[in-house]
Amino acid sequence: MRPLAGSKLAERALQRLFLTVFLRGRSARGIRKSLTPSSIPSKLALTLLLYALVGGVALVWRKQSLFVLSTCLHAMTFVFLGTFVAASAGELLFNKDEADILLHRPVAPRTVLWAKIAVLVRVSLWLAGAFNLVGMFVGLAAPDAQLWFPLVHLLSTALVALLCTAWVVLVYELCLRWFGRERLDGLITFAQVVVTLATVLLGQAPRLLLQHPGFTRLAESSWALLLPPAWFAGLDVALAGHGGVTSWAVAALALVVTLGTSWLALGRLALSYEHGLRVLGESTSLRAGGGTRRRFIHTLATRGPGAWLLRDPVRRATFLLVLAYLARNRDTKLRVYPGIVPLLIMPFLLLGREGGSSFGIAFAGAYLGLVPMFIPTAAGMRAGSGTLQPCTCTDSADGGNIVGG
Amino acid sequence: MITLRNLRKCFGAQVAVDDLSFEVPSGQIVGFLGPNGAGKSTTLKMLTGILEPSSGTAQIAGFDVRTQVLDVKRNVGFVPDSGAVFESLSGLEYLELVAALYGIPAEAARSRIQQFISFFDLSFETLTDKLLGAYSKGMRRKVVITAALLHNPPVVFFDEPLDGLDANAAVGFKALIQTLAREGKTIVYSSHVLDVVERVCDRVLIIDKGRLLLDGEPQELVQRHQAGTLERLFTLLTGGEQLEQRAEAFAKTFKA
Repeated sequence: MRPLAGSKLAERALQRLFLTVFLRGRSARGIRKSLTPSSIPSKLALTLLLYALVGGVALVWRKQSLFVLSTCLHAMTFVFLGTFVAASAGELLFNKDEADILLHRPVAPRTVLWAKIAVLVRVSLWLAGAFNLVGMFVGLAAPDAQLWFPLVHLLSTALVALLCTAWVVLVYELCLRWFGRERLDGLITFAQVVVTLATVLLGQAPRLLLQHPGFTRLAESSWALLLPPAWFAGLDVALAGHGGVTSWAVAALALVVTLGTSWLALGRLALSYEHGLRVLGESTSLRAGGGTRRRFIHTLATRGPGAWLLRDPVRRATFLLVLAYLARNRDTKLRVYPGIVPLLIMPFLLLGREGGSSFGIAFAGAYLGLVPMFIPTAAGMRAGSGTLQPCTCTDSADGGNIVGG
Repeated sequence: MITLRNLRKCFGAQVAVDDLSFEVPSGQIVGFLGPNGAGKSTTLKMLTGILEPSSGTAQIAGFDVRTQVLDVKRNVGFVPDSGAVFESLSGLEYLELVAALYGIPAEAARSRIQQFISFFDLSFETLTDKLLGAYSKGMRRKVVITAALLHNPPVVFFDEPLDGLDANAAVGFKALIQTLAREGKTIVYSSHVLDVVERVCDRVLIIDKGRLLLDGEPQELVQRHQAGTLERLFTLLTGGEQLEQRAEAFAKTFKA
């Protein structure tokens, strides 16, 4: 048998695997393969088209200098990609089932990590490329742009995609290294929520920048050079504009930070990932939540309005089941919380943006009204729960009651 | 072929496997028994490189599970009790992936997969058309067993391999592991179905609370302890006494 550790064949197979799993979804119960090839590429194409349409916002900055245009494009790319990578990375990087499928195969965990990161970077590149498509050509209209700006911007966008992925992976690895295995499951969810939250909050920076009356001057002021989007814009200006020393300096900073972060995340701390994968395979003795939390939930379900709403024992049991999933089940937490965070924080951002005006309050209230849209997620959890599936109460006629519970 | 010396695994303060030592030569089928939580799956996971031992040593086909873990993995096949697979791959995609991870060229892999398909009475269409998430438990188990044997490993670990298999497939599987053992493969077979273990295995190891309680040929052990059957011996050793009385007491609670 050939020696295989790190072999090209294994690497290619793993990349193909993770890309397929990522695009089809990890769990595809009941789906026939014959249905997937037509639906997945079309869904992907639609997503890329949407990103390209949103990227049309670049037309707003068509009269700006190359540096301002590039800064805006890279800032928005950071927000979109950061959110995407943060939402996808937890499930892709640390999947419990993989221990039983992959860890006894002759493949080094580092090879597995690289394959996963390659898939994340590849999908990020597709999205970033679609989003920047319009901007690449709008940039040609900038007074100081060279003809090869689209190619240079493509390169800097690729670096942004790499940096976004490396940052998220680095956060996971550092959490693993600092906090250890005992709290791994909760920690991964926590890290993902923090990364999503940070992305949403940092995403407000370019918006505030754009709304500022002296935006052009701000974007070209020295403090703006502290922001990562400006570094990559510096790369664009250095290679495809009339770049000065400052452009070359920030371009170098972009390269150093991207390569440094990638080296740390993909090389230096990859051992933490290996440890994390093994830890996921260990059968930890899960304990039920603390007594206070359990008493609070019990009170919620048995006293006051809760007692009336949940008077049906099936509803009450379902309510407790959903709460248990939300509190203890890692996959559920990874899917639900990072998705909820932007929705919950948006009302406050809208309130802050509108300065407490009646419009802001109304808009924030409307946004909060979207929260019940997460009920289908709970329904999905019910559908995935083997505990309730055999019950007669889980048929479609009564599904509404359960979700209501 | 398999050598364990004082192998130990702790999860925090909990000791899952405690000072386990035994050897298994080539061509032997060993039943690895124990009650729930005895440490069977943890031991198998250490021997297949999924978990790292806390202390002690183990060698598979001459390779150390700590220092030569990739060599160990090349020489073992493993059917985990979870039967986990990538549900969004078709059976064929999954088996081709596994073949690629062991460096088996695509054509050779396809030919081996065909042999397993005919052995397990699977249709090629099912293997190519349906995603694994849509397979029945038994079908999925057949794919997992195929994936464990595809690279022709000298040592194979089975953790509850019959779970979900229909009667014909189970009979076929028992014949298969006996044939594999005759060809010189070492088989470690962990199961709670003791009559199958008694019929198939050359030797049984019984562990409880991470410690080895008994090691020997099934018939010889049953006779030595005057237990009548392996099942009776198992309950005597692992604290399963007075099960009939306990069952009656349990049933009475419904009448009350």
